[in-house]
Amino acid sequence: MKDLISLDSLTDIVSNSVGILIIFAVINLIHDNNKTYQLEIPLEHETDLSPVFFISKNDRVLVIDTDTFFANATSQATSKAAINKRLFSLEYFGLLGKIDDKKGISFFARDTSDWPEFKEIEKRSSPLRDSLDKLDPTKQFAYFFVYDNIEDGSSSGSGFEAFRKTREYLKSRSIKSGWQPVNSESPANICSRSFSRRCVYQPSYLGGDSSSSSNFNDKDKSAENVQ
Amino acid sequence: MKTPFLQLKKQWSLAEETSIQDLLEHALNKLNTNPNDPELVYAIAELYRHLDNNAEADKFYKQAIDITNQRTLQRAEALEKRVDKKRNNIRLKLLLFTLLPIITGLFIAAMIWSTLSKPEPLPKGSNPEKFAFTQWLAKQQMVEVMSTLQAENPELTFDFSRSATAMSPMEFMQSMMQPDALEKLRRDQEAAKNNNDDGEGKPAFQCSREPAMRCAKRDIPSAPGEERNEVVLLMDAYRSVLNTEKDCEKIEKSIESIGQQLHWRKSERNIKADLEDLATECFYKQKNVEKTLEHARKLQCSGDAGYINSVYWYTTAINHYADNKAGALTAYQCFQEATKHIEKNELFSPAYIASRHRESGALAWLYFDDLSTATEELKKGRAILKKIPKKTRIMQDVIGEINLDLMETYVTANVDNDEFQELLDEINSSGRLTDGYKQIKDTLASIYYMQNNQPNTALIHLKNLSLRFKLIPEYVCGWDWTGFRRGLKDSINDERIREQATILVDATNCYIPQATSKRIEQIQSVVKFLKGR
Repeated sequence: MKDLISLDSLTDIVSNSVGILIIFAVINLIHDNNKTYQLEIPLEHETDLSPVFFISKNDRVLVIDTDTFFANATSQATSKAAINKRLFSLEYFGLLGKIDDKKGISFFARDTSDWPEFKEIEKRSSPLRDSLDKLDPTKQFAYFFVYDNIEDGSSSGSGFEAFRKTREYLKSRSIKSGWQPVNSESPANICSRSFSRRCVYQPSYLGGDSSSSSNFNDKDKSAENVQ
Repeated sequence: MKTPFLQLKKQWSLAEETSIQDLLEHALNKLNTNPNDPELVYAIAELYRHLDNNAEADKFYKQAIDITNQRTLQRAEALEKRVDKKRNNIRLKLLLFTLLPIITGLFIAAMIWSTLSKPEPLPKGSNPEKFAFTQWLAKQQMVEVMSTLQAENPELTFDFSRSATAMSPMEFMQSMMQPDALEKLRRDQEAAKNNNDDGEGKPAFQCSREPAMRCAKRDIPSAPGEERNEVVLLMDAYRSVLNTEKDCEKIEKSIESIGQQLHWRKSERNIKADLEDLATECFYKQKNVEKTLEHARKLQCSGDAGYINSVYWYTTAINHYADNKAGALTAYQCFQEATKHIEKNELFSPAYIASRHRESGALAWLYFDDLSTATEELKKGRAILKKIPKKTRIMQDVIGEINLDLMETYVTANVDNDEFQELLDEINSSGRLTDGYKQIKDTLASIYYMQNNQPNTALIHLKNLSLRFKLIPEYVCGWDWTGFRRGLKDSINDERIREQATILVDATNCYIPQATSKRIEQIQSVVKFLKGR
């Protein structure tokens, strides 16, 4: 019986297979160690590009037409609807405005039902995608005001999912973007830089194949002697 | 067997064996002293009933009922009295609380009336013109003055609606109080007659080297009234959006539509000027001669003294670009005149005046090839700020910019090493230069050391230059190399070094659109050249 069943061949096969797998694992490990990963560090930086403002809330994204937005706000300001930090209707996609000397013009998003859903980006032709496609990477960058409050019926619970998808789409078109989180207590606002350092709208996320992107692989960089 | 009326006997302290008859007699005796006790009467009735004297029992039962009824009535009457008393108390309280606010209001009104009735004392050191009585008196005088003027000069008309002068009735009255007021009024009437029907007026500053600016009425912020705070805040915010806008026509359209909505007030002219300045700069960058001049004129017509230099800066530059040398020279002379005007009248801060000297120097060098005037103006600006002991951040920024301009003239004039080194050390130690300006500084320094046979020092600056280009995500600068590039012909004799300097200038010229990698490549070619020497 002992002569009939020998386990030697099986042991050889198993040990050889395990040995080969270990060699593969070591090779992969060495290969991975040599790999250089490009990491994008989202630091805000000075820019000569013009900001195009977006509000992202409840899985929807609204591109703000600043001309209409400011024309409506001016109309309200001249009719004294905006005095004494009063809330007034901007008559622009349900936004409410408020003017004060700390935040310039603040705007609060309420009803978002008529805003475009971010899923429209995936469609070949949709108002949202058309608006995004109009942006010129050599002249403009996108700046997002992202709501992080939880609304009923929102799959992600906030505007973050919509913001991330839109930003990725813009990056594929080499358009830079910046953002800030907002909520009803710290609303989105546009103000002059002379007011406060917080009134600065700069990109932090670089466009896809931007000619000015940094070379993070450069091993030879040194900050010596840089004034 | 149970003893009848045991409880009664105990109550009256009688023996248990006391008979009902004796108990009755005892009860009747008690009745003499307390005839209205219903319980006693009822007990007597019960005793009679036990003695089978039903007639007497009925009589006492009825008497007990009568007494109980009387007591019930008495209690009800007492309750009624208590309720009436309580109700009266509530009525009194209600009346008091209703009248109390009225009484308080009347008291406060009386106090206010009493305070207001007192004569207003003039606070020490306050402006008598703000005094209510003075204002009332002034209004009365104004009415009298105007009536007299109207009577004596029937051809004169007074219109305080939106006009070119846009004086309030009070301002007008004050001007009337001046000795030559009538003469001035007649002169203004004459001037108005000479203008065309488009409602032309005069800008705030008039350069002696050019004819009076003719402004369309809609270009002059002239509506009366105080500055609207919310409009100022809103326009400041809008400016931050338009500031980087590249579409000049869009800016132009926005200013037009906003102007139509706002009806610019005279007190808001600085906002209008600010927006026009943006449009002028935008069209200048596009080298659109016609539009630059148009918006420079509108900027001038806005009448804000803070933007006069800006008007002449752009007109000098754009006239030079359009090859209108005479126009450029006139504009530059007006720029200098405007600088003197603001300096003489102390209209602005030292940092503002120093900046204008810096611009004057830049214009002299860029468009008139006048290195000595440029250096003189820059030193003048620098001296204004240097003598101020405590410098603000804005002052430090202006000094940094002036130093950088001065460095350009130093490199062009190839000043001696010590003087150059001193300036370079000051720039390096200021800590106020932006990345864009640091690139300009290193370009100039490397060119200076190249032409003075110090290749190793030049290489350090070139390494900084190249490294910074690799690190900065976006090259933002506003440096016009035109004058320096032109001056290289005379400042550097060695043709090969001049060629390398030109390559460096082009590499750091932000107005030449090129990829950062291309800029680094050009710098590396100069590094290679220096290492090969």
